[in-house]
Amino acid sequence: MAKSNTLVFFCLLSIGLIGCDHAPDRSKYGVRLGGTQAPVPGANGDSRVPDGVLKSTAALTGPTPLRRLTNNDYINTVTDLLGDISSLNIQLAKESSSLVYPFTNHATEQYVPTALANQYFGAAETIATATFKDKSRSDKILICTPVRGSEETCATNVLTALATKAFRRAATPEQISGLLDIWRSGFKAVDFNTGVEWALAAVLQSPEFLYRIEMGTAQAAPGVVALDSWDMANRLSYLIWNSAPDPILMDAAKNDKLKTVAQVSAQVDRMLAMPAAHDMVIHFHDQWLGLETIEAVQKDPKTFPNFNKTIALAMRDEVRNFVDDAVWNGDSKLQTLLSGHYTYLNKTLGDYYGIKGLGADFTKIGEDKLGGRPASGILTMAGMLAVRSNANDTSPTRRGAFVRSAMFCQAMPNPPDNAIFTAPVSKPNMTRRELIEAHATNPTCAACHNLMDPLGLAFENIDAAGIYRDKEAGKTIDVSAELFSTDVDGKFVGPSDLASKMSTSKTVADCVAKHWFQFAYGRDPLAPDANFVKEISTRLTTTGTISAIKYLTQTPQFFYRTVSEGAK
Amino acid sequence: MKRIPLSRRTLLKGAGGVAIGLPMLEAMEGSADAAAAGQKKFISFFSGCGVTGETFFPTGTEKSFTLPGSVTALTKYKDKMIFFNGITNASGNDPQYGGHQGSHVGMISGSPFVLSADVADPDHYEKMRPKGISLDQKIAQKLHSPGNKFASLQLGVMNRPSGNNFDIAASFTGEKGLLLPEPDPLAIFKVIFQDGATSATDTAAADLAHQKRKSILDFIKGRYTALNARLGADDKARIDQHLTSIREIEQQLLAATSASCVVPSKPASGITPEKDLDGYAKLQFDLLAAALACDLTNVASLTWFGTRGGDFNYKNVIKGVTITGGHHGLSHNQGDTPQITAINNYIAQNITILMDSLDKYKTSTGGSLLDTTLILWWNELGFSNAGHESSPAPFVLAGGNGGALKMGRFLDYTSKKQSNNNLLLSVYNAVTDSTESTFGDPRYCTGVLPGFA
Repeated sequence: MAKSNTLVFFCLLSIGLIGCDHAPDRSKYGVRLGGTQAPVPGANGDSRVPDGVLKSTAALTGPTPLRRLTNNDYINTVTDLLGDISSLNIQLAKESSSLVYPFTNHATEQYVPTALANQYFGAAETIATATFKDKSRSDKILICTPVRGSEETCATNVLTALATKAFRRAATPEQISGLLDIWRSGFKAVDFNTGVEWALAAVLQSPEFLYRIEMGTAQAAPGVVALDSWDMANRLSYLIWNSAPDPILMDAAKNDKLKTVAQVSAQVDRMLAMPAAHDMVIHFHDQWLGLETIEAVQKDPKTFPNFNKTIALAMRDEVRNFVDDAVWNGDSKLQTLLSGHYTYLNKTLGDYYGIKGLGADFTKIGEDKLGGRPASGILTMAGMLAVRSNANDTSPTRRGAFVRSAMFCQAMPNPPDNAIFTAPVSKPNMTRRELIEAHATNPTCAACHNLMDPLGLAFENIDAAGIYRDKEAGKTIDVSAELFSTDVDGKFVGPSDLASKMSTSKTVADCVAKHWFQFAYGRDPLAPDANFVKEISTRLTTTGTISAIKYLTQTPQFFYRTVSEGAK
Repeated sequence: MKRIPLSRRTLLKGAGGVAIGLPMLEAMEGSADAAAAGQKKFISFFSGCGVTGETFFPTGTEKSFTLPGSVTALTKYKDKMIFFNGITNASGNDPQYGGHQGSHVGMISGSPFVLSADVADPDHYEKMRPKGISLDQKIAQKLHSPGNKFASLQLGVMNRPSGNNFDIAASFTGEKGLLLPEPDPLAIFKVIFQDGATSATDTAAADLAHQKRKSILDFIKGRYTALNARLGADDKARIDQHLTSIREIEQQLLAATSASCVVPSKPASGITPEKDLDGYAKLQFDLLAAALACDLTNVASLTWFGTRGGDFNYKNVIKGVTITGGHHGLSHNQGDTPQITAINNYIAQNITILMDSLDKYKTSTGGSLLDTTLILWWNELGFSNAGHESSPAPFVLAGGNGGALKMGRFLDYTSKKQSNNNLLLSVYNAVTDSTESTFGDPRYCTGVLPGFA
């Protein structure tokens, strides 16, 4: 099935939906759906958790640390509030992530050093100034016309509406009074609009904007409270859209209609049909698969003269197109992500791989049309393997380490303090396999490298710059490999075999489930969360990823909040 | 050539007051006092990718010595320098890790590196992070006064690398505390001098920006304080830190209003090292000198390109020697000593230009800002093209310590080796008037350098 034009990266960004009432219609990755609503897979047979069961498990909620907007959330939220800001070049400090926690939303790691506070400050000023330089933008905020002599009445209305939207819950009198103080300074010093501009700059760095502050309602278990509908609107929108609630969710919150599983499920189904939900799935995979740094990847120009940033970005888009298809079309199962025998290519990437006859848009291509190049889901994607290579040669170690840590959730230890980082010395006509087997001869190295190298050697048919090859140093490449210390141990040949093994591995499914838990809840799962992670894992391999995402909105972790010690 | 005050500037004269002349404004020289009387300043000058020891370390005695090819340019200020030999990079000279990065951290902090769990890349080099605190940051903790807008500044004469930020970091406070240099003169100018004004002459705009920022800061401080009151201990720790950060911004803002200072001309945009390295470096030096003279800060670090990925190809600026590649690449080759020598002498020449910039801020008593500013020039490799080793470590001191340190010397410890921790401790004690007994990882520190003070 051709899917041309489905993903047109970045060119849709400029179609600003300023102050649009259906902001999540925008997709920053250029996802475009046919029609206004797309069918949501995995809905059939998707049992809903009854409210009563939820209440009885409320005590298993686990910690709910205060979460700050990730940089991605921040840009999306500002965009939904004020319109496209991509031309403003907003810089926020790089967030930390790791192979075992690949997402930038780890709540307890979200500190704000002075440098970041300065960036928030500068960004707020820049955005506020730009908003009031463009009448089409400021008009969306200036909802009334000030009357000479009683400007404050209009200012109060403007700031109440602005704060409610930006803080994503009904603004309090205390907040409005503080914002009016700022407005008065600007109004006296310059004019009405300047006052609002200054207040907007303050709104954009308030804790109510930068953090997801939850209030909660009645106690559901000792130390555990149910969310109020505003809390729920925010949890839903930041999970499914990585952005602020839209007007429909805000209305539901205002009318307190986000209390039951049925009410929440109806919103979830509606929300999953929007392009921003596709963006969220892409964002998960970008981070999980470590593709966010692909722009910075450089290859030795002598060995790989055709590799450049355009190619690197096209490789990332290949993964995104494939992921979007595997998750939203067809069975949505994890097995398809790992082993689907197809990919998406366009002319740029086709020319680079040596596959002819492709158009400008990414199109679905079966493995049989790839001229020998293996296609086994995300595992064989050039982008995945090029990121985990050296500048002039592959790195079975890094490729193997990635599969181990990201997909089996087995953290690879750092090399011991007495490790010698001398690269093995290459001799003429030596293959990478022969070279890397040096690790196995040194018992100190072998202990860990046996977990990585034999696994990584399965990918040797894709070189350091993502090109298919069947020979190296004049010899036919051997892609036989072996897995140790997993639940699917044994010898295998090439990535397709590996994918088959991984598709039956419970460890892999549990690992991906753990990553979805992290992505959804901003923390690592703990012992009381085990059953919920297990259910996510089951769904990933039976009813599929979208079904697992739905389940994430039906757990006690999602419906309740733990009141930590000392909190009010 | 503007002589424009910051907002609410008052040009104070006499005891305790300061009046600052512009580096470019020769007419002002001799009539303006430099930064707050006697206030000591410190600059950490990091140039990456290595020197070749055979042409870097002087020969001779403490008072009578000869400068070899890598540092002949420093002859101009020979009586304002201290050269060293026989300093070992004790904590960073691990022969197994060796090379640029392992040495880099140890050199300026006296502590080894750690492999960060935060870096999502199994490549060992990408994971390297500092464990200790860099000398400039340790000094900044002591020299920072409420009157300074910034505890320290980090500038760069370099290109922004696309890869590892670690390669360009001269300042850090620990594994997660890299303070990265700003290479853009215009960005530095805006941060340190302009305070919201659209042009250097726009004092009304600066005053308005100040009023705006004060009202915004008052509001957000109130919001974070209110939030803090209802949080549990774990969340509170994070919001406390956010609030502290906001208070630091506030302090920068308030300090700016009381600064008595003359700002230099606004730099043009789009200057790059490739287009005009000499002009670009001079701009950064002038901004740095003005920031120190204006008491906006007492401590700065300057990264003159970085290690590894932060390197530079000097082929267009070095005359007389053909440069065949980037500094990093050359540092790995045997036999490239003439090129490495020429590169380092070019950097040495630029250090004299920085010293010129400082020297233009004259005091009424006949001295200059250079007499109270101590510059430590350091580099991560002492013998780049032999064993790629960091020891003997290439350290040079320049400028002055307010008369409290005798300059114009060569301290040769080759027969009785001293660790770089001892050197860092000596500099720390001298600049901050302290009597500490150890610096960095105490395993490598035995005390101040003999005969230093």
